[in-house]
Amino acid sequence: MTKRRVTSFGLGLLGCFGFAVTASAAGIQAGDDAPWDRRHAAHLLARAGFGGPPAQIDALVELGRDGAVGSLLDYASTPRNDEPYPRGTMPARPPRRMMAGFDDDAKRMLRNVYRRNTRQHMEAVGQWWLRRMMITNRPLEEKMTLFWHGHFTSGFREVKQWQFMYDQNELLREHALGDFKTLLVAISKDPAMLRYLDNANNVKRKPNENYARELMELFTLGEGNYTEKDVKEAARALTGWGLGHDGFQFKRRQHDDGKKDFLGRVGNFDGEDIISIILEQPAASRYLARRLWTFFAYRDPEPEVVEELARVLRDSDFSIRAALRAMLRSDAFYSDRALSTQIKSPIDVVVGSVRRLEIEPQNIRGMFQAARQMGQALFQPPNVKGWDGGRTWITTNTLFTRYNFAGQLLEGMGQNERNRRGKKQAARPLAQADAKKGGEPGEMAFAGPQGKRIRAMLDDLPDEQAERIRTSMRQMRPPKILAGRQQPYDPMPTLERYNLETPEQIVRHYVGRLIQGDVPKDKLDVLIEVLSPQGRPLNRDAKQQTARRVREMIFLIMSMPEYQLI
Amino acid sequence: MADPIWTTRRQFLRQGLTLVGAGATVPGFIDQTALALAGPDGARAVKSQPGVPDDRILVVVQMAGGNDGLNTVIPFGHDIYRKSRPKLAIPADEVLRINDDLGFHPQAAGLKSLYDDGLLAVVQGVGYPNANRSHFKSTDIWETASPEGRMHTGWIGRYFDHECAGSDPCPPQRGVALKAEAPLAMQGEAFRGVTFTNPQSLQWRRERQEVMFDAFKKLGAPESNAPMTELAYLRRTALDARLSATEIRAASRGEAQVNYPQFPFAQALRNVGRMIASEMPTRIYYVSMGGFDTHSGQTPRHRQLMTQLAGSLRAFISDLADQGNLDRVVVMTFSEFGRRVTENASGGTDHGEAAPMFLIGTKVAAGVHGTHPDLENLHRGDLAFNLDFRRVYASVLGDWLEADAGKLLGRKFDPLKLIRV
Repeated sequence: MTKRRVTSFGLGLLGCFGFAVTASAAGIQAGDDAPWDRRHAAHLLARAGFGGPPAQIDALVELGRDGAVGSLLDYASTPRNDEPYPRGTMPARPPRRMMAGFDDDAKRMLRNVYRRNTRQHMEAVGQWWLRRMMITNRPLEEKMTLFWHGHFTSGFREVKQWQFMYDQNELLREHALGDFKTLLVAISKDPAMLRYLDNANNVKRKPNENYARELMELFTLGEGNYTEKDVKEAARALTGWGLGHDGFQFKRRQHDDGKKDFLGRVGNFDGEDIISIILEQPAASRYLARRLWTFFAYRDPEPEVVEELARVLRDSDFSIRAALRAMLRSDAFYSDRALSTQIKSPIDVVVGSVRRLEIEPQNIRGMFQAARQMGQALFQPPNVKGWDGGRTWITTNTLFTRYNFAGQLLEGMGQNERNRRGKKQAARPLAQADAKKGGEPGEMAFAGPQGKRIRAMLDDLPDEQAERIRTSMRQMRPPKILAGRQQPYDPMPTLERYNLETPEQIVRHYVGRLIQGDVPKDKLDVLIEVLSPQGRPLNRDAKQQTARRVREMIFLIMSMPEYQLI
Repeated sequence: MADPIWTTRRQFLRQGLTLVGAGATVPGFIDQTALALAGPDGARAVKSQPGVPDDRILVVVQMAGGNDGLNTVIPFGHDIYRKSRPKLAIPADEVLRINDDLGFHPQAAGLKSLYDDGLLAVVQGVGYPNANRSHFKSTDIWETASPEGRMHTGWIGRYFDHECAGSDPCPPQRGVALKAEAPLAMQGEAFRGVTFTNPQSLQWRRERQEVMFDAFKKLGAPESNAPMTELAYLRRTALDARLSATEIRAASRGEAQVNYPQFPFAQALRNVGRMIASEMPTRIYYVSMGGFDTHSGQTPRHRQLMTQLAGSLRAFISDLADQGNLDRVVVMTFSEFGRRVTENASGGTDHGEAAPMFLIGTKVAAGVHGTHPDLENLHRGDLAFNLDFRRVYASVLGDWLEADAGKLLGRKFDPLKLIRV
C-alpha cells in the first residue's frame, strides 16, 4: 500500500471562513459548549465526505467543531490531487462526411463502433469519478457533486453523448458550493440537461414543457407551489434555449419574447428572468433547505430547522456554502435524529469502505460494478427524481451484494491483468495507457469482427477519407481505468502501527474504525470469539493465518446491520 | 447452521413468516403477526388444498430485447411477409404449421408440441397505444402496466401489496425473480421480492463456514419489539435475506427428473422447477431471457433464440407434469415490443410494435386468440396492436390469481378468456 493517498485534507485553512452567517434561532443553533468528540467528527466526515481512517478523524477532533467544518468546506486552496478525464472531442455518431460513399451496411457498422466506444468512455468516466471520490483530499467537493447529480439528474441513456455527461459532472463540481442561482442558470444551459429534459426541442411554435415543469417541481419549488399555467409560461420563456454545434445556443428565432404571466408577475420574461422569479418565492429556499437537510442530516426535518436553513439561504443570496456551514455547525446535525440514522448509499458503501480501511483501490471497475449492482449507477440515475435513498437501497438482493462486496474487497477481486509476456501488470493510472500500448493507436476501436470489416473497408477508400476515419478512431479510444486485481487486504501494518496485541484490542480497533456509535459488549464478544476461539491467543508469527482471521472478523463487522448506517 | 425454516408452503401461506422453533431470532412484530394470523397453536391452522388459489403459481417469462414476433408465429402464406423480408422470411415449407395461415418458427418445435398437447395459447397482436420504441421505456411500460406513466410501481409488486395489505408486507419469497437486477414489475410500494441469478450465489463460501455463519447470525439478530428504526429495518431485511437464501438454496439443490438443456434460460427454469417441487411459498416467479435485440445477422441468432426458448419451456412443462404440479402453474411470456416488418440492410430488424404472447398450462384456454395484425395497414411501418396487453394481465390477475385486476391495473380491462378453471 502506498502512502500517497493517506493524506489529511485542507486542514490549514482555518483563517478563511468566507463571510460568516450565524444561525441564531432555535432550529439550527450552534451551541458554544457543544460536545465534540470522535463520534461527532466521524459523523461529520461520513456525511460531508465518505468517512475516513482514524488519523483523519483525530485531526478533525483537534480542530473543534467549527474548525473541522471549515476544513471540509474551504477546500478551494487544497490542490486537486488527481487528473481530469482526458475528454477529447469524439462525437457520439460518425460525422456524415466521414461516411460518404459508404453503403448502409458500412454506415451501420461504423455507427456501432462509435456507439460501443461511447459506452466504454462513459463507463470509464464513471470509474474515473469513483476513483476520485476514493482518493480526493477534498471529500466534500465530491459529496456535494454527488448530491447535485441526484438533484439535477441527467442520464447517459437519454443524453447519449458521454462528453455532455462528463461536462455536466465538472459543472456540478465547479459550482458545488457556489451560489444556487448561478448554478441554476448554468444547468439550464447545460447540454446534457437540455437533451435529458428536452429543452433542446422547446421552440416557440411548439413549446416543450418538460424542463420547465421539472425546473419547478424537482429543482426549485416542489409540487403545489406553482400552477399548470406557470409551467406553460415558464416553458415559453425558455423557448430557444437550445443546442448548437458547440453546446448551448440561444436560438433567437425559436424564442417566444411575448408577454408572460408567471407566478403572479407579468413581463416579457426570458429564462433568466424565470429563474430569478422562482428564487424570489419563499418556497424555493425552503425546498432547497429541505433537500440539503435530507441528504446530509436526516429525513423529515422539523419545520423550524427548514425555516432557519431557508433563511440562511435567503440572507446569503443562496450561497450553498453558507447553508452547508450553518447546517454542519448546528446542534441538530449532531442530534440523535442524525447520528447513525442514515442508510449508506451504494457509493457510501464502496467509497467509504476503501477510505475507512485505507485500501489502495486497484479494481475500480469491479467496485463501480458493485455499486451498480447495489442500485447506484453513476451517470444513470433511475429517473428524473434521482435516487430515492434511505430504505429503498435495501432489498434482500442488494444486502447480499453488499456482503459480497465486503468479501471481495477484503479477499481480493478481479483478474490479474497480464501483458503479452504474461507478467502481472501493475494497475496504471489514467491516461498513461494509450501511449504505452504498442501497435496502431486507436486499434482497440476496431476490435471485434465489425472492426475487422471496417479495417478492410478502409483499404478500399480514398486515402483522405480513410485517414479521417483513422484519426477519429485514434481519438476515440477510451483510457484504461484501473481494473487490476484487488489484492487481499493486509491488516498487519495496521496491527503494528496501532500496537494491537490482544484479540480484544484488534476487534475494538476495527469496530471503531468501521462503525460509528456503540456496539454492545455481547457483539464484541462474538467477534473476539471468531478471532481467537476459546480465548486462544493469536499466533503473531503465523502472519498469514492471523491476517486471514482478522479479515474474517472485519468481514463480519462489514456484514453487520450497523455497518450499513452512517 | 440449521436455520429455522418453515417446512411447507401450507404452513407458510397467509401466516407471513412463521418460523418454526425460531426462538430468539424472530423479530417481535413478525412473531406477533404470524401468531395472530395462525391462531393459538401457532402453526398449522391454515387450510390449503390443491385447486384453491393458494396453490396457484404464475411464471412470467421476459424475452428481453424485443422478440421478432413475426418470425416466431409466422403468417407464412402472406405475400407482404415474404416481400418485406427477402432475406429473413422463413420458407413456407419449413414453418411448423398451426393452421393454413400461421405456423411456428422451425426451431420452435417445443412450442409446437405444447400447442399440439393443448397446453399453449397464442395471443396475437399484443401491444399498447402510442408504442414507445425505447427498450427501457417500453419495458417500464410493460412492467408498470402503465403506458401513460401514471403508475410507478410494478404490476406484480402491486399485486403483493394488495394481497398483504396491513402492517407487514408480504414476505419477499412470495415473488422470486431469476435475474441480475430486480425487475421493476416486482417492486411494489411495500413489497420487494427476492432476486438472484444463481441460487448458489446466495451463499457464504468461506472457510470455517459454520463458525462464521453462526457469528453472522448473532451479529445481525433482530431485537424483539424494537421500534422500526433504520437499524431495525436493516436487521429485518437481513433476516429475510438469510432465510430466503437458505430456503432457495435448499430448494434448488434437488435433482430434476427431467433433462433440461444447458442454456442459462433452461437452467433458470430448472431452478424454478426445483423451487416449485419443494413447495416454496412463492406465488410468482419471474425469469428473463435476453438477446432478442436482433438488429443484424438475425437469421442464425433468432434460430438459436427459438431453440433455447422453446426447448427450455418444453423441458420445464415436462418437469412440472412429472412432479404432478402442472395444474398449479401458468406460464406467461412477454417482450417489450415486436420488430419492424421490413428487414433492414444488415439482415436484421429494428424496433417495432405489436407481437404475440404465449400462455402455457393445463388451465390455459389453448389455441390462437385474437387476430393477426394487418400486414397491409401498418402503423409507422410496424404491426399495429389490436389487443392491449393489460387485457392479458387482467385475465391472469383476475381469473388465475383471483385478484381485483381493475384495481391493480388502474382501471377495468375486459379480460380475455385465457384461463379455464
